[in-house]
Amino acid sequence: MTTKRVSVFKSVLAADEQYAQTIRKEMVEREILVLNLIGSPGAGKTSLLEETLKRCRFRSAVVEGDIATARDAERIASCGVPVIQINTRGGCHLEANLVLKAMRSLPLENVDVVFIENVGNLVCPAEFDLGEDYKVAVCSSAEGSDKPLKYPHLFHECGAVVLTKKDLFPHVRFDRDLFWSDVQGLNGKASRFEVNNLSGEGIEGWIEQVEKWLSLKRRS
Amino acid sequence: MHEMSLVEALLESLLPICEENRWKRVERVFLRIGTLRQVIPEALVFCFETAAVGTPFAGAKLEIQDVPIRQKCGRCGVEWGGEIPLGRCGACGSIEVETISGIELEIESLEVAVDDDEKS
Repeated sequence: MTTKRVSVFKSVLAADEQYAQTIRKEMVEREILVLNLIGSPGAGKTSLLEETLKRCRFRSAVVEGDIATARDAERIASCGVPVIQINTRGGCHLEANLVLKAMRSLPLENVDVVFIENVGNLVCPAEFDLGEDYKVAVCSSAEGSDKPLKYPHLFHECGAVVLTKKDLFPHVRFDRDLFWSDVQGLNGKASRFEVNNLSGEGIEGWIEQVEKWLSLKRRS
Repeated sequence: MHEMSLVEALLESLLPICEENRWKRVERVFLRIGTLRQVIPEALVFCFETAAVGTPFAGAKLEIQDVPIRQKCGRCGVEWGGEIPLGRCGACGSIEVETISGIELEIESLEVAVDDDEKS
């Protein structure tokens, strides 16, 4: 018995990347914008979606990713928007094969934007392509201003950063200038927003960004 | 902790190749993993050893090559490396920055055991 070395040169995630490409292709054909919302547990991803869905002028659908429960999907459904809940049963991120299946059961003929709310986690979800047009980093002031540099991959890759809980600035010693200068240092292209999900302050600017992305997608 | 997902994907893509080529035992798996992919090598090895039981990969060694971050300015063409990715070119200030390496998740090659008469 001897050994031989054989070349492979293949992505570890080749199979999942195929699913992501399928999503991308189908959504281009349908002119649907796909956004992948990523942030820690409690960052305010679901609240941001609720406030967005209440006010926006485009038609939305939501794919909810959670380890367990349908609680987020129930909150979204009460906004009158089609929603599919994926329970990962311990999995710390969504993968494209699951998302493709979920998307195909949504009534996409009446949808302009699909929001994917990823499992609450700043690390792993950034590593998996879901066929989205943009990743959106959602981070709350209560998490502290050091998150961009501690989790650089997400902040480097995303198309927008939404800083939530701006009403808590005075209470949590959040260094706002440091946060935004670190974001800019990692990613000069990301749009930047500050919102308060309780009062709705700042939500309109974020909605306008989604509309801008949607019209870009329709023009391309 | 996405290492188990990576190992599952790795085996899913390699097991059919083993079957096709009738490789009964793989000795080493050579991977190239970019710094930006936030993979913990020890966790990856642990997951691999666990998942490989009962397959031709049982007992195989994972050889992980870390690929450092390299970036290039889309305007002035300057290249640089570093611990974290930058969003702005240090030379000309442009935000047209491209990450050219450090994001790899690649199976480079395998070392497989073969009968001497099969060696080619």
